[in-house]
Amino acid sequence: MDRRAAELALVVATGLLLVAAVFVRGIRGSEPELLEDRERPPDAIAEPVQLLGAGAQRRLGELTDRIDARQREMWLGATGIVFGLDGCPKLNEWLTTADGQRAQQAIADLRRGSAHEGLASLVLVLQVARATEWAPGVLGSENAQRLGDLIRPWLRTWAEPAADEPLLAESALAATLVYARVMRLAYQAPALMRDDGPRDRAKTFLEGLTGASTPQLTNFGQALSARHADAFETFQRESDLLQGFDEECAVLFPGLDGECDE
Amino acid sequence: MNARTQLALACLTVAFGCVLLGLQVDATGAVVGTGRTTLAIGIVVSLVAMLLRSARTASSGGPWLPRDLVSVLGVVTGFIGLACVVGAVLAPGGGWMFFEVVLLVVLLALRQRRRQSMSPEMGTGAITVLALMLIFRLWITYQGSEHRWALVTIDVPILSSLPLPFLDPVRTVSLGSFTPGELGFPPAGIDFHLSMTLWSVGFVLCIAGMRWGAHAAREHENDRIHATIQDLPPALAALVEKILPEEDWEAMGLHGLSDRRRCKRIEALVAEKLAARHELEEALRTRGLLSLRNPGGFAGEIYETLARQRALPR
Repeated sequence: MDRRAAELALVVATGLLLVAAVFVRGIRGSEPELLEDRERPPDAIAEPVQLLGAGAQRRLGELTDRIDARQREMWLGATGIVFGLDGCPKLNEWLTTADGQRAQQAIADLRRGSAHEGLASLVLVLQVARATEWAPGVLGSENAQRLGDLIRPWLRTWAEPAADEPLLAESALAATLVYARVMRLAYQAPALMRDDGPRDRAKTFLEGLTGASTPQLTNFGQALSARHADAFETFQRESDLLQGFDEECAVLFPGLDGECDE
Repeated sequence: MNARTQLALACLTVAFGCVLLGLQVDATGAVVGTGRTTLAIGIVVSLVAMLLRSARTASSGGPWLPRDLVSVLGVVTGFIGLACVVGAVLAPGGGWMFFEVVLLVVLLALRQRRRQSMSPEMGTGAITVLALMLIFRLWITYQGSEHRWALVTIDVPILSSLPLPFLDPVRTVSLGSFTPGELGFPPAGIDFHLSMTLWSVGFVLCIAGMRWGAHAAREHENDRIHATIQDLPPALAALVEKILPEEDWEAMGLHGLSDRRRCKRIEALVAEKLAARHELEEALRTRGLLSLRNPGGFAGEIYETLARQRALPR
């Protein structure tokens, strides 16, 4: 009787597993949820990416109120410098001036602060990108690569935490697009040949940031892949690997080409 | 552990393997299904193979039907297990899948077996081909997980090493392209390593379970035949088992019969064997050559053999 009961149990278990084998095949995967699609807390800054665009000056006050009092004076000083920059100086030359050095210090100090201060740091970087000349020329792409050097530390600090931070989620993706655009202009600078140095540096950096060369993407890599799927695929497949991101950046920040045309 | 229990355990193993073959892990770590399309193709392949095999073996004996719950489970599980295995190893759609399907139908349907069976059984050759197809599938899945949507990408010599942007379109040549949809990738992408582990373990469980189940089913049928013969008086049962040795029961078509037909078949086989033996003895007794002296050569060898078997009349 025990044997019969055991056999019956095995038969029932097998039947259930066979049904499950057909059922589980129908489980559908879902698209990764974009952080910016989640409900925003009532006191959060709405559409923080606007603070990275040409009209950022109109909303700086919202960010100022959220910056730590000890950093606020430095922030206000830096915004006065970068938003008052005129004449479209070359980036490398401007960074050697007193104003340029103060702005650089503010960018670095704010980057190490809270999420709002991190956003403030990025706001300064992108305003510098709009207000200075960094487009590659016949003599080289040092200015563009220097701008890339300003963006890279920010991404290294905030890209992965931004995947879980609604305030910075979209901003980190936008910063990646700008970085890709800058570095693509740098490696395409030569008339005929391609300068592989900036390309390889960008490739190595972004692969580490996104986990594209590992079996599993990082959280930031998943967010980037979800938001810019085609561009991410181009990054993984093509020799002109930043082309997709560059095209997305042109949509998000039209005119950001290093010529102060905005 | 008797044959019934072994068959039930084998079915459980196959069922578990089928579950694993139906799952994959996406890039976010979520477990999703592999889709029912390939399962449907696998069911068609299994059904066609089974029908072709039945048509070929129908003339060699009566219909083989499972006669108890465990045997039914064995047949059903074997069928679904084969469908799951076939679905798991098929390449993405297009010409590859067509040729793979045709190859599988030929392999599974035309295998030479003396066994009559409804449940699809695979030989070493078919298992080897399925394993190779699984490796192929794993390779293209790996390529897809790396976002290389081709079987193989070959760098064009010299052109691929020149840093000239206008040469980008001709630097590489891709052979055998496919899409994420054809592979059944989840929207978030696939975690190749975990998915490969699931499929490999599932494949092994299904194949091992089906082989185990085939042996257990055969042994289970032999147990039923033995039980029928043991219904006879002991001396008679022993005689019948001498006349009908167990290793020949399957070839004699005793598997898969109802109780009534099995008894009738045993009766017919005993009569047939005894009649053949009687005919042989009569032939040996009445032939003139038994009275000849050893003539040498081939006839002499036969003469000696008959003498050793004491078949020569005294």
